[in-house]
Amino acid sequence: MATLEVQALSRDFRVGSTTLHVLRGVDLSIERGSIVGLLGVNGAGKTTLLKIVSTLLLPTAGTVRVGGFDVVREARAARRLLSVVFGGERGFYGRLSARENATFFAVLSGLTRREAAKRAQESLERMGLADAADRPVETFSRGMKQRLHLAVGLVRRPQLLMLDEPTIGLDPLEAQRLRESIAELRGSDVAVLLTSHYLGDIERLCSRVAILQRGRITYDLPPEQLLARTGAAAEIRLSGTGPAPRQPEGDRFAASDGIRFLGHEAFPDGAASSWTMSFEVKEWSADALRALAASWPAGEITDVRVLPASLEQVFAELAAEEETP
Amino acid sequence: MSPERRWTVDVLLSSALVQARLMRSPVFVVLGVVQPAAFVLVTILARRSPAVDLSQAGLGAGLLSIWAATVWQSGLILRAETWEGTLGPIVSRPAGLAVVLLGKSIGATVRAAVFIGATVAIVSALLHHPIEVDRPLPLAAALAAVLASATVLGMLLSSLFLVTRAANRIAEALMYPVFILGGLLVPLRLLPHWIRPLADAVSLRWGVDLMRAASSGVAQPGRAWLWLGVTTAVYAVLARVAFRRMLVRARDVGSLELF
Repeated sequence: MATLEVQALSRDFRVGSTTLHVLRGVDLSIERGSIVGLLGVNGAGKTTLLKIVSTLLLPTAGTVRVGGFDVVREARAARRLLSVVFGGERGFYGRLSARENATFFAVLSGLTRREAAKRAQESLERMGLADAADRPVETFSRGMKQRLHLAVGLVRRPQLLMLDEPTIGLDPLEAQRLRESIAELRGSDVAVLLTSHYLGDIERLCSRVAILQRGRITYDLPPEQLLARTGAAAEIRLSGTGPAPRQPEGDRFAASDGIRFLGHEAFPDGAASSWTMSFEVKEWSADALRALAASWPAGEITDVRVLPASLEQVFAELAAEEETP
Repeated sequence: MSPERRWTVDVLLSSALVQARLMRSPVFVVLGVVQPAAFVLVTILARRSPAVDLSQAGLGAGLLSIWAATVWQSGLILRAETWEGTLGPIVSRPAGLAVVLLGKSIGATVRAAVFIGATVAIVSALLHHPIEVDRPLPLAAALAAVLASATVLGMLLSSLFLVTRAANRIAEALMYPVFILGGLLVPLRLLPHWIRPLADAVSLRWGVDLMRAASSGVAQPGRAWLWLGVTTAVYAVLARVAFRRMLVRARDVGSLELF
């Protein structure tokens, strides 16, 4: 049995006389030990889905089960198994200290007061907040509040952990530390659902990526299969100085080369003229490299960049699809 | 005690303590110290009037402050949770909002009662008019019942106030009519006949009767105990219904973080 099972989930919102269909028949499941990334443009319904799973919002239709418990009819049992981190500036008692907040929410999560105090201390230490534990939260920076959200969300080990944009507001070191903490959950007894606009996080951490488009899950694939959807392994950008090279002719590359010319740009400035050229490599092979070398222009090449295909390209394509009426 | 019950007690206690700590702000010092001190002062300054029974008036001043602090502080707890953005995080946890609200209401009540009781006693003693109580045990029992009733009414108002942005204004507008119907500002016998049944529905009115009887050394009327119990039970049922409806509505329209 999957830890999270979402079936035919729909959610409508009435705004005046209009009905917004935010979720339209979402199906998703996450097994223990899996980290699933949820991607979608703003307004795609990611937070709505997380709110329904965390029992804050009722669905219009469909079912959601956490550990086999229905989040509508058996909400309390489901809440015992899940933990959700929405992040942001609010969600704490500003006049109370980080320790008081963490301990209180730990008790509400199912721990006794003694256990809660101990786990809160451990969690604050893990998130690097031990030194600020007794300061009022209203004096915290945005990044510190984000870390406190995570400390509170991770104070108890749930069966389902949901993280909404967890690395927002964190400095690079904190973000890396958090990624390591999340990565440790892979293969454990915890199922993780993660949303992030930092697609690198999703690419590095997730065993599957679900794409939410117009209220539906349109792809639910491992990251590498999703990347294959771009049809390219990498983009190569050459930069050089001197007169702009001629554009390679269309028939210069054979289909078997696996190379496609994307475009070039010239920046004429007398003796300081420069240019760039871009090629798409569909698949790395000896033929592709040979064809590429043969097409390199004469003159001084100042830079060669290889940009591996990324989820950002996939995301950009999806965003373009969303904008298409 | 089963682990589940022990945990529920922990949730109640933690919620009560958190609420008491949240009331360390200057606003609550005004409600807990300055306001009752002013009431006592006004009462004692009226000592020359032969119509004023000082002990009764001092008791009335304390009761007025305790009722105001308890009902309105408890009544605004859920509203305050939305301002802090903590309503969603509480609802998504297994402890449940109802237990947390009960714990917080108890915390608000106990803190208000301790502060106000101490203030009234200290100010009265400093002015050489200590409150004299003939029957302290029945008085303590009546006070506990009044506090319990105020806490329950506060929980009812908390659910009602959550669905309106004008909660503070409504709370202020309701305060003095309730004091009048409770018999704290004007003797009930002076109110028009048609309004007296309304007063019977206010549990404070019966609590005042019980406390006055205890402080004057006369037997507490059984009828007042009965009606204090009935009105409080009605408030409790209404609070439960209002709370459930509020929570279902909030989860339905998605407004737990938007009230």
